[in-house]
Amino acid sequence: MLKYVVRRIIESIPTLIGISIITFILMHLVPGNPALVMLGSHATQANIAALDHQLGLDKPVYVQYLLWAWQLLHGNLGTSFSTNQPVTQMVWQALPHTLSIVGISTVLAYVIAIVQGIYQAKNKGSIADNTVTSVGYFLYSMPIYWLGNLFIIWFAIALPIFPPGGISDPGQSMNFVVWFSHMSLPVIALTLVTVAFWGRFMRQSVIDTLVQDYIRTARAKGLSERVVLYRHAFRNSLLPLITLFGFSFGGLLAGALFTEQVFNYPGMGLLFWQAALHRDYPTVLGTTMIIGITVILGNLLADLLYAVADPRIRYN
Amino acid sequence: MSAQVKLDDTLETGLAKEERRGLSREWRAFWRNPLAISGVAILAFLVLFSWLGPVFYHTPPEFPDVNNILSPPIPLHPLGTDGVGADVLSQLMWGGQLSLEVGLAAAVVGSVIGAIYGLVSAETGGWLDTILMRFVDITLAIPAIYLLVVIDSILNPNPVAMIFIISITSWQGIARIVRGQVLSLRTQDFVEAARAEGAGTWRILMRHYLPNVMGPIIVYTTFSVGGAILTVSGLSYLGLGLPPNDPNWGLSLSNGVAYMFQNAWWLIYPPGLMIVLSMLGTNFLGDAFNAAFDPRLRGRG
Repeated sequence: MLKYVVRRIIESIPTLIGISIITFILMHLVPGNPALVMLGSHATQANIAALDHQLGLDKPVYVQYLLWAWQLLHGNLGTSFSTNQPVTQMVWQALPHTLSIVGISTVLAYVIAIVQGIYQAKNKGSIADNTVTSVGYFLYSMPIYWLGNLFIIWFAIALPIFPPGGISDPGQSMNFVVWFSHMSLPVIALTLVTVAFWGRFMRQSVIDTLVQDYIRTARAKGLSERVVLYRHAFRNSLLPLITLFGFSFGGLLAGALFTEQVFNYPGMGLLFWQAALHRDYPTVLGTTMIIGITVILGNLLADLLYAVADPRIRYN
Repeated sequence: MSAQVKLDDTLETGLAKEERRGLSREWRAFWRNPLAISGVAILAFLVLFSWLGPVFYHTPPEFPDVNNILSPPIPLHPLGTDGVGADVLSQLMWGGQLSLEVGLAAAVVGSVIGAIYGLVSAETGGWLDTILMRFVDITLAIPAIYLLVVIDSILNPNPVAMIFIISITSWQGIARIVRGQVLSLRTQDFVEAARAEGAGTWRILMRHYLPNVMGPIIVYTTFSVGGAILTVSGLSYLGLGLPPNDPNWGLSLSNGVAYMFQNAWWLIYPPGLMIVLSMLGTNFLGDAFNAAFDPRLRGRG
């Protein structure tokens, strides 16, 4: 098992280097000289040259990349153009918010998708099955930036149950109730669009599992339908859902970008979007890099979970 | 030599016949599927609404009716007006043209790029294949919308550039599918037979690979059209993307939600519904294609 873990971690290193190169290239496509941007329009030629030298911009491109990567390895993502704060510090403030809404949505989506999938597979073709499938189609087709706004209109304006956005109201001290109420609508929106995808997948997965030979054997042994369903079918149809998490993790972070924008929730997506609108490139590219690393770690986690759940993988 | 050509021809005619018969069976399965009918109907409605609509409904999309600002639906403006008095119905009709065109074009260009990439990767094999596929993994690590926002903030794109940048962030799936298909086709008897008879790369490509990968490509492209409409609308919603001087659905939605506290429902529901309909239409159609082309799925619910 340890050997497998180490191998998977080593395998993700080239991908990490790859996304750092892509980020670096994008940084160089950014219009305008960074020194000129930092000094403003009154900069003299000598000032620019001095700052270029200080920033290392007069060195060959590959040296610049290595210098930048060296800084990156030390957790230095540069300084924001718009707030003059270190980007790393801004990311550290934002990342926990994103991970909590994505994490909670993932857990909720799993639970609902599993229950829904088993129920639908058991009652395949019934009115309930078809209704859930239709609702799923509709939610799956729903842009989260529309669904989120409808939630605000319905549950924060028309029926003021939840706050319309942010992480706490102005002047409000932080406690569990405040945290929970502000997080509810973003989490529900992100969960629903995710369930629409996963539930459909889970239904098919259980249907496929139920026709396997070992299920017939279990039934032939005289096991009750309950035991067959929950001990044999359920556990085996979970495996594809773990793979699905690896696939969907990037999508969840994309969903988080829109969710945080709609609900003004101060996570990575909102930080990234506001930086993009202000052309604050160090922050834009710093957050992009961290999002990429998060996706790779998410995929790694999914692979490791899969290896835990399925012994066949480890011995390959 | 002549005998070889003849054998090749007979073999190919036989295969072509088989394919033609196969295709018609697939199309019959397709049209029996209620999802296909619904998908085609929804998409036909959207196309007629966007292109035929302006022929009958003459109110220009950008003309501000200063007497009716932020007006709910009235006979003069069946879907009301926005904050500057522009007509919502005609905004949606004209906006539909741009949204659907960009979505369709981006999906098709992305599929072409992906199909060529996957084909080259599978055909060359070896270390180049490994590197090309590793590159796919890398580009998938950063969610497309983040890359799009970055590229968008650098370029300030026009619609044609928009098609290009959406397509270069959405070709990876089809590249993997085509590579996988070609890798398995390469070792099939009928391809080896064709190669042994001296059929060139181009001929194998057009006669053997293309007909066999067309099904997955059509399925994938259909889903991509919806995805690209969602993406291009999402970028406009974020205040980026297509230039704001021409209407598009994402822009209408973005303008509409600014008036949510004024209870301006006619600005918020119709544009969102248009995007949902285009997603529903392409998803229904994609599922119907998938069920028709994948024999394992036939007769499954």
